Amino acid sequence: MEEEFVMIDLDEVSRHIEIPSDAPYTLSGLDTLNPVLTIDGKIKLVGEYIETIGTCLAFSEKEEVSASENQMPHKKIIEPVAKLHKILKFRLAALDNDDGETKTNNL
Amino acid sequence: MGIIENGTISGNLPSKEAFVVHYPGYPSSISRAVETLGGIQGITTARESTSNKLELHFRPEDPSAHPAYGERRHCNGFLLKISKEDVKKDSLPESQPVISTSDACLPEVRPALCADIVARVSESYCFDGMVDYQHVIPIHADIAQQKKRKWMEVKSLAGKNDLMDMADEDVMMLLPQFFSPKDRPDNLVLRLPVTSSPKKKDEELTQNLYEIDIGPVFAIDFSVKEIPKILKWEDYIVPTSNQWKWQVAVSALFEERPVWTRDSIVQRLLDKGLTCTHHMLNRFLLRAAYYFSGGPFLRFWIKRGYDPRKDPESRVFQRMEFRVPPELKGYCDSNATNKSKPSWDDICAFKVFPFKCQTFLQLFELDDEYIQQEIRKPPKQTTCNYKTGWFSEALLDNLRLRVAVRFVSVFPEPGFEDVFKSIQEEFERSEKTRIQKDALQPSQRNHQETTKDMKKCKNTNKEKDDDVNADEDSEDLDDEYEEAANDDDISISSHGYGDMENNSRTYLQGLFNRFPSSASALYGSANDDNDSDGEYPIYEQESNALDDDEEDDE
Repeated sequence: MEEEFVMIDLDEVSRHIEIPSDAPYTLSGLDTLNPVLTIDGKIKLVGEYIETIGTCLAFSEKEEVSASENQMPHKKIIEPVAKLHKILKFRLAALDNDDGETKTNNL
Repeated sequence: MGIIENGTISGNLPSKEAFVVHYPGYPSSISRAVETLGGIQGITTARESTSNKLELHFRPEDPSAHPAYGERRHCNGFLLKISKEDVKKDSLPESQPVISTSDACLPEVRPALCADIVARVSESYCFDGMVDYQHVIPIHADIAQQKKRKWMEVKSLAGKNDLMDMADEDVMMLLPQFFSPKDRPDNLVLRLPVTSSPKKKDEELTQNLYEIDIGPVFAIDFSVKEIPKILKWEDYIVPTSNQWKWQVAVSALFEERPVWTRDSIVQRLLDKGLTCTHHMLNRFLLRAAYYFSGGPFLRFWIKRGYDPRKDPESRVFQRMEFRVPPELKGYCDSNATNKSKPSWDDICAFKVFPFKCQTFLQLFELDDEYIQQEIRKPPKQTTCNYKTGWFSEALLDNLRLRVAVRFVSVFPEPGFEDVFKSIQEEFERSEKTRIQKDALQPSQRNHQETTKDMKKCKNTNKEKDDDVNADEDSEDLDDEYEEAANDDDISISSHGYGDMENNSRTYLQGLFNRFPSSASALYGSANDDNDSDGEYPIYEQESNALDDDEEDDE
């Protein structure tokens, strides 16, 4: 299976809204230069692609739970996940743009 | 994984956590990048560490490589995964939506793009510091740029194989150079230089003390009202230092007696085994003493706080000079370059003939019974005279001739008995003259001295003398020549000082008589009523003043 990864950057948005965990999301416009991310049906974000400075390495962190050794302290296992050069930076969508895009989608 | 339909996917935000490292470079592979970050173990250690630092060694094989530090930061992000499933050959381009729509009835045949948000990114490591110099071959940089540019097009998703090939070629070459010991930029504030050396502080303190407390001590005018006061040098000399021992020795001499010649001080210090430079001795002397620029104690070091002009007992410390007779000057010329000079004690004891044409002595130090008896007789003057001090002019002349007799008697070369006899006879005549003058009535002598004081007022030149401690003998020779020239000038200008024609004519006649090299005219013929003896020392002293001015200019 061929895989590619993109980093979604919400730092710009986190100052205005709080992103809940385990919320439903819809990501549309992936075939365009400005995808739209809708979180929990309320928050609309418009994204644009940015190149990384250097390389962005993603690592996953899993908590090791061994049933047979309960007395052992829990340790995290780090695994490299991806090497990516693309960042999708999102910002809050303006009302006009939102309406415009909605109409476009309808057409 | 959700299939992208009309460019849209749906799902729930994941709870799975991940972190990212904004790696400042283009590693050839993920494994190489992990290696430069210290391996999985190093990353794990950094994650658990409280320093929030992740070390990056661009050259992990180089033990001396300087690490760059990544700083942990909080961030809000997600990781979007895009994949392609069921890769099959399809002649139709995927980007055409119309064709895709028309083929929707056959989904199992065509490839499908899937996308999903797979992880939440809450932390990242950023490298903001400076790093070692990094050299990247331009062709590799270009490949990296091209690879990036393709991301702007959807087609790049289909070029997976090409990307892998480019990744292999993206080799980073590093030069092993140490750029800077500093890791992060820093603001520097320039501060005023601080003298941390205690030695410098002591020197500054000493200099200030010199300027403030010591005051004028060199060549003080004889008519000054106040003399330098006693200096408490113990306040700024460390008792354990070498200077302390020196200063104690010098100050002790002035407790022994208040007036010294420099030559005698040097001799006494040498007898104690103390030797130092000319400059250092001056420093020790000025802390304990001072000297006048003229008068009967000319350039003698006088104890601070002691005024010889007010103490008649200081008469025994007055200055006396000896000038080598012209007939004997050849001896001094031949010994001008003689390095083995006679000791000061031997000179004061009249054991050797001096090498210099002019020697300044202190009456107190002369080993001569006649002189010591005469200077210890009760003083007959109530004030200290600039020219003769506490003594009368006749007495000083008598003592000067006594010194000459003693020195000529020890002249080492034979054949000069006539010179000795001549000086001896002159000494005996001066003794008679002195006795007769002493018998004069006090009122008459006061009148004569008043006349002499008036002459002194007309003399605008201050009485000065050569430096007793001339360093080079050649300078002495030059001084002698200058003195000769000055004598001529003075003899011409003497007309302006003649109050009495008889005295002037008699003096000039005596001067003419001395021109022939006759031994009998060595010190001039002195009659009972002749005042020319009084004129002689004045002009000699004036010539010394001129020489001294020139030395001061240098």
